[in-house]
Amino acid sequence: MLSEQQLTKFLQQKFGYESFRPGQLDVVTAVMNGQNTLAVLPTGAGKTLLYQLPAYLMNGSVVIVSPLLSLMQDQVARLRSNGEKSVTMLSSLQSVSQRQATLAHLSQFRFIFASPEILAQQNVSDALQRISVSLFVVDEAHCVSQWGPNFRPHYLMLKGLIQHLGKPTTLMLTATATKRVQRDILDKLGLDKQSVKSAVRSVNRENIFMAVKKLRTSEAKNQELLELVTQLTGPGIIYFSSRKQATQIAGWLQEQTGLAVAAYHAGIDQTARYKIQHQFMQNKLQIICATSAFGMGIDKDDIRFVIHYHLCANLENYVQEIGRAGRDGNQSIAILLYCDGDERIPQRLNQLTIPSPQVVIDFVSGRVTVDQLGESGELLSFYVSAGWNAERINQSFIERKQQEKEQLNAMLQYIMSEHCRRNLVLAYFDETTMQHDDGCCDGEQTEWSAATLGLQRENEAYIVPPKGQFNWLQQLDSLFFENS
Amino acid sequence: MLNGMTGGIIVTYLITLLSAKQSRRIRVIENILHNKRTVTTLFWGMRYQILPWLGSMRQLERADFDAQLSQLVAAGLANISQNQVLLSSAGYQAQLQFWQHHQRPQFLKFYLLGDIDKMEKRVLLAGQVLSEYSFQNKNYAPLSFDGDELRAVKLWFHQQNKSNLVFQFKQELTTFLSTLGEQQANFLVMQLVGHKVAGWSTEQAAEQLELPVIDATMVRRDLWAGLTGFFVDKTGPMHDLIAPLIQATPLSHSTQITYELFNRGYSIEQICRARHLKLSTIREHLLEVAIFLPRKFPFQTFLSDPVMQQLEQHYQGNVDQWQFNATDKSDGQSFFYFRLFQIMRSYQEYAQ
Ligand SMILES: [Zn+2]
Repeated sequence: MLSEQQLTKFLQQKFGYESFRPGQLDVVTAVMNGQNTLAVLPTGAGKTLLYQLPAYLMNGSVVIVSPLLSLMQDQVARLRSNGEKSVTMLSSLQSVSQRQATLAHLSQFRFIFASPEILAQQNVSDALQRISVSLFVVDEAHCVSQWGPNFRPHYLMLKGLIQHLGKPTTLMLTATATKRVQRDILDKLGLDKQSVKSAVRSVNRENIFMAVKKLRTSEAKNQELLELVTQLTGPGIIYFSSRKQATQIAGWLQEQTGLAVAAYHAGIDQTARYKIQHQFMQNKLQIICATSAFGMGIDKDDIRFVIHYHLCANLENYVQEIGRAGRDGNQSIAILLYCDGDERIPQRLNQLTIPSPQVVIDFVSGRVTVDQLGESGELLSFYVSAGWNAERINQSFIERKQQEKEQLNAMLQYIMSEHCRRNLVLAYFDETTMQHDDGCCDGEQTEWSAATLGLQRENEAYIVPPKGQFNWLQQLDSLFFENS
Repeated sequence: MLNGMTGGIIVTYLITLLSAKQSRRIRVIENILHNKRTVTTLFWGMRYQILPWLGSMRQLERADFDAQLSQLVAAGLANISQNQVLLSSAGYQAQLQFWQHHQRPQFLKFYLLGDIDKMEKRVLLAGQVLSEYSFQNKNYAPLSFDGDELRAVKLWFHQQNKSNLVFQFKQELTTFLSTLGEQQANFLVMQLVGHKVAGWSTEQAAEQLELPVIDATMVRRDLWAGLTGFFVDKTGPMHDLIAPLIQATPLSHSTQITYELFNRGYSIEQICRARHLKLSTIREHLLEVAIFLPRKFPFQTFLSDPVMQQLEQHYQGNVDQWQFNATDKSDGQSFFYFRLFQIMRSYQEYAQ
């Protein structure tokens, strides 16, 4: 076993970091000792290092289960740009022949990224069984416990896969999880609570001021948004729950402010997403209007504000999304805009994925088919294939509905509270509360402005370049450097 | 909205695929855009003269397509009956007007040289690789994550002579771009990605160049097709890059094999036996050849003089209106002849 000193030396040589960030060494040591580990670390705490470092010191391949294609692509890209060649991604982007070629040479890869859906395929799990898996990583592990529109039934099959692979050391990574969710993750993955090491860091991010603005109408909301982005210094992210609104508001804000604003969501083609992401990284864009597809894996530490145009379905998601602000430790702000009735959006999205008891009965008895039900059909057929009867499925739906309702209520309490919002969040995650002050949140009748927080817009950068100045010959010269 | 407005509705390029004289099957148009290539679709696509648009909107969703049509109908520009759509006289005017305000495709004849989306992706990735290479930077996230794409560009890069590759590539681009208008050259170059250059998305480029978004989507495809056509018969790095994606003919892979055997003198029956395929399948392949390559197709080999005379007697006038009279339902031979005759007549009609 390597000592702390040796691990630090390796960190410096291989990754170029001077020292471990808080929490990292603990997890790396546990993983290297073959201990199953649950790491609840805020975004920006350097989660990828937790499996990347052991990957170079252990024999065999590291399997990383990831919920989003864009997240996987991003991590693969980053590994490749660091010179790592033995990395692959099993995804729906691959053709059948590509997949077969990859599976035939699986042991050659140090890093194997895959979605839970791909891992559920027999040929994939068999190929994994034939190689030596040194570490099994479940990234964004809260997805295992999540319900609602983001629920992915195939996460429940990971338990079987871990058994199938001979119980390799398992590392679960997430940014936020209440105690209950932590228990649920271990439960769903079939891991023994007693033997699992848990490394939990506080969700509290002291440099992010937390505020809520309650508005009467959507016009007032747009007006408020316009004022905020005019006053606040960027870069910033505005989150929406609808793609259409993200696009519309992006166009409108750009028109109104002259700032460079772009929309980013799963409905935009891959090349355009790449471009927008990199424009943002290169500070050519001031504001991104995004759905939750944007953010996981975004490595930009100077985001000054995160505004939510719509509330999240739960505080877990909210805390995770606002955590993308201020990773550099400098003052930042999270603002949630709320109109009466906004909670109907997450409610409706939740209802869409939960079929009625009668539909469940009809499905189980074969009177309704998967195709007729769409997304919820896949979910039901998953349960049926797992041997569940209608009664059990409905019971689980009732419990889930109840849980969602409670989660949404907690989100609403955060919005309605006149007391310290930070303490409300800390209490929700079973953490010790702290003393509210003027730099904490807008609760307890605390007055604030962009100026009092030092977040007032000053520079005139990021403005959309004036039209008619682009010159393709010049652009070719800046693209292709010729040293002659 | 940036789209063309006519009577309060958004008119898209869909209107250019419709006719005031010829009722067109809705699903044929949709299938052409989607690249669902049944022989029936291809045949009617040829009759509507919209084959270049084959596979031009693979991501098209039926709901969107239907909504665009319903808008035209609601605005009185088109009528739908029995799943066929016909422009009204107002619709015909709107179509003429559309062309006054929107860009026309310039490179239609190159649209079927291959999958244009793939051409675009490959050239963009190669451009990025060369740009970073010219700045001697190795640490960057590639534009594409597709394993095949990365391998193809890597292979191409290794096979090129590095000493003046960047210069040549840039030179080749410049040569092509100089054949375009200023706006179009700008539009294409704005899409390129490279060292510290994130590139513009289609929407962003359109806005910068004050081009309506619906035009931008069309122009994007049109220009990449233009680039493909420009380099298809040249030599040099750009040709080497796209050559593996160029299809000698627009025929499907299986049809291509059938066609090769046919050219070697195999009879239909021999091809069936050699390929373990049904007679009807081989006939469909041959129809596909006739549709795409009418100039090369030996119609007389199948339509002997007596057959031809019989067909000429039965079928006259507008080819669209011909109703097939089934005489033998057993093996589909007479339908095969009927379809071939339709294709031949269409070819003669268009050749005039
Ligand atoms: Zn507070």
